[in-house]
Amino acid sequence: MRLNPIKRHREHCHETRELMSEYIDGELAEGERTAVARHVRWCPSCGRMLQNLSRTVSGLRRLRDEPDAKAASSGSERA
Amino acid sequence: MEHDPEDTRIEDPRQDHEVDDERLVTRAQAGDQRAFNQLAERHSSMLRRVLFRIVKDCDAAWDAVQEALISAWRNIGRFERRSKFSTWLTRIGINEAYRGIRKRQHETVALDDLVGERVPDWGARPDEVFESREFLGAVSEGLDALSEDYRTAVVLRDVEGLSTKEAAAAVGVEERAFKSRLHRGRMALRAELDGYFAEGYVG
Repeated sequence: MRLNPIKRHREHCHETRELMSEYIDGELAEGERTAVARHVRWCPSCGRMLQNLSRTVSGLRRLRDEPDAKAASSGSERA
Repeated sequence: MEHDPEDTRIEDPRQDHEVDDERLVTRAQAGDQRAFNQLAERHSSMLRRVLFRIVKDCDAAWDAVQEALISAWRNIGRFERRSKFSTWLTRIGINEAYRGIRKRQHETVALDDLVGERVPDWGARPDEVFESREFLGAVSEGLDALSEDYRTAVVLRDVEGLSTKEAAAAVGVEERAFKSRLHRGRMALRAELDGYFAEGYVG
């Protein structure tokens, strides 16, 4: 039976997105880690999503040292 | 595409501040209030920081800390040391914080709905943008927009740097359930930040 390639691709996207946090945290088993890495290497949407999620998590981890960060996003600094 | 997935894994050095909590807990369980006060002094600023992120109000956070400390002192005899004292105290604090805020309907991010939609590209911006205080301010604002469940998970794991095991224990759920909540919280925040970039931020 031939699977619809678009449907199959979206299933891969869905599976990959479910695993992104654990991928970032280094908590995936080798097989899943490789599958995520392979998918995001050629799927632009999932690649962007992983990169954006990773930047989000990096920002969160810096928040502890920047308790007043919220003040910086309001006011005229924002274009 | 050019994106290297190896770049997205993050070094996250953890620091362990547990020195002699064990000894102080033993004394507190024997009724030594001064020992408990030392524990409270040691952990209350962390607790206040976490609860402030959850309740988003300085006075409410402080009230929740006070209630948590009173409750912890009353119940110190029942602390079985299956987790660190700070984790146990955080769990009590979260319960107090939740008690003080209106329960909202648990929202879930339907990840399925995102598949097939265009994912905005933040990648063209220089790295400095993501290290700026302005970006961190947007992250902080986005955090405030999340539901309590998501915000709590993200604050404990990412902002405060607890391990998955500690954070799950602090919330009182299984690790698997915690990981799911954390992931959806992070994804919801990422989606909030999509909006931030779409509003025309110039990096």
